[in-house]
Amino acid sequence: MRIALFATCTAQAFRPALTAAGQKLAQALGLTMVTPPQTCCGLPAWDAGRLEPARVAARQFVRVFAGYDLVLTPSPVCRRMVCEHMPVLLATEPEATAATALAARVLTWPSFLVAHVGVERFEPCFRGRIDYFPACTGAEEAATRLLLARLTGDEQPAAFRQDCCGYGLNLVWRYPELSRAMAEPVLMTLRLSGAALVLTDDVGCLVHLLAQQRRRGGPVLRHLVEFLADPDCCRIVPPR
Amino acid sequence: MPADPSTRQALYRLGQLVERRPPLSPELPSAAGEARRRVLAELETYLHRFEAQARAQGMQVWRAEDYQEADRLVIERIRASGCTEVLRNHSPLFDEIALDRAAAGNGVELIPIHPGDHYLKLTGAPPLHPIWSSAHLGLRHLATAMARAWKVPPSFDPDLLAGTARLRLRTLLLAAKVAVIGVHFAVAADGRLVCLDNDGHNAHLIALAGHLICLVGIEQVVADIADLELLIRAFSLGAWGQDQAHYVGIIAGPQRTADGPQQVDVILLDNGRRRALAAGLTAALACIGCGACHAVCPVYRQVGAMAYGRHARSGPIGAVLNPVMWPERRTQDQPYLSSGCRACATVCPVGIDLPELLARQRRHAAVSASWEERLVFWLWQRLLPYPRLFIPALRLAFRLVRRA
Repeated sequence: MRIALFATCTAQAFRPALTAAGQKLAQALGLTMVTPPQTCCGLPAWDAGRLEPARVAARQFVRVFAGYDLVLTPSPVCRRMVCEHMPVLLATEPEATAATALAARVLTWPSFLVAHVGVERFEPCFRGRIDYFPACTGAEEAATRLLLARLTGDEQPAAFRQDCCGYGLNLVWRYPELSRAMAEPVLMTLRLSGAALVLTDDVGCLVHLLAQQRRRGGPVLRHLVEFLADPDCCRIVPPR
Repeated sequence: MPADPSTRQALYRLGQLVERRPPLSPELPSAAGEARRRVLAELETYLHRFEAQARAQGMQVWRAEDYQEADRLVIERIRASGCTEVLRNHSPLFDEIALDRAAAGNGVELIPIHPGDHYLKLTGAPPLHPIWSSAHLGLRHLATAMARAWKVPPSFDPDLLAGTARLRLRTLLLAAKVAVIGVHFAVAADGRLVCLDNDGHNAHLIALAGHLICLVGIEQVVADIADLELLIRAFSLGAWGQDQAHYVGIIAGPQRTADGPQQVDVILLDNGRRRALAAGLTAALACIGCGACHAVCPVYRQVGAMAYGRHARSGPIGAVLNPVMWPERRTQDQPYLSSGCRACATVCPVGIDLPELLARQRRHAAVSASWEERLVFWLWQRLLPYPRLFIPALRLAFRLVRRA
């Protein structure tokens, strides 16, 4: 099975450690995964209502990833772009069939790990309370919750049913002050939660919250994949 | 752009109130949405039917093309009654047509009988939400305004304040002669008008005022009693999270008995609604104004209703409708007042697909975007094939935005 990492432009620009963690995790699980040269899926343009640039990005995305059996991404929001908007965007283009076929093969890390690896392969060794900040698209929550239940040993892991943290690229760019203000109640809840570590399943939320948190302090924020790839937090056991 | 901290705190509490509600059963939004679409598909037919039925009930019916005409009609009706102090209920329609100001300019005082709206009038504050209009007025703010306006000793005891307010509002109600009422639904099948609330002010106004001047948006027409029942449920769930509003006020035309109005005037307000229909926003006009999408919207929770414009609708539905309904008021950027979080996707009790409508309105906004935006996306598109340029450029762009 040929697996590619859809690293997302956000992670490449602002959280290279996450891309490295993804590669490390794949290696630890004994999977062969490549990270092809890539830029953006086109979500910012689609979000801005500019379909032509979004289409250009979508075509490029299909060209880069069409040859792989499975594409993994650390962002459910970017996955939504690929799986929901891209087939529509390219419906009348030569890439239409490829885009539709590709949409079914793009998975977020938690969905992949739960469906194809099995949560029992992760043995958490992190001491301290872990909380979870879900990306507000909410599409992947079931898988993430299963994984978190394993990591925290808690049937119902604590999750902040909370506002959007204010990361939409269009919001950051057009209304930076508003986007910053939206992060405030989220960071406040994280600070008051008493958790030692807060995991999120979207790189966008992570980058945005980290940028706003810099001045204020609070629990450590990490992406779920970084946690799984870190041997100090989680051990990976061989399949039974 | 974000509202002041105390308003944001109030908005946050409002959101929590809504989030604690059980999710809507999936049947309701589709059935209620169907009821709305039925009317909007043949709006003119249903409007004519309503007008005919309302006239048959003894009401007088006018149509207002825009808010100025609506103001003029309402004030003419009030003048004809010879009254200079007129009561009104709570309705976002009054903000839409700026009736309070227009009336004051014509020597008529419009007194809100809804407690929240009355507090807004006392303090001069703008409304916060289509239903919870005064949730941002803190106790201190309120107590000071009451003491000043009513010349009562200042008190911070909520029970005492409520008692004082109740006495004031009751005195006003018992002397009511003319009332302006923004209604929630107008039934085409029998010409009745319906208003919902949880404190009874509508029922009192309808029973006590001899002359009712009713304001209805043309999109608020419903086909028949069965649809009305469904939409009352939808509105009550969206606005208060309960199956049924505590009070359903029904205006069935002038009454020949002692109770109820002797004269009922109805003004049907367009003010951009037909323009929205013509622009393909039928789905958005299905809105019944319950404010459920406001309370869950993280953008609205930071900015409040004021940021969308004093007379425009607020929240996600406002961001969709305002560019078409108020094109002259720099509302074109409002579809971008969203992070794409989809919080509003599942809360609408008439099943409006707000994320899709926001995306649609953004596509329209993009056509007339500024040259800076065009330049940014031109550059973005040019750099796409080159990761080594694209990623550093993205980093640089963010640094610039953060510094700004």
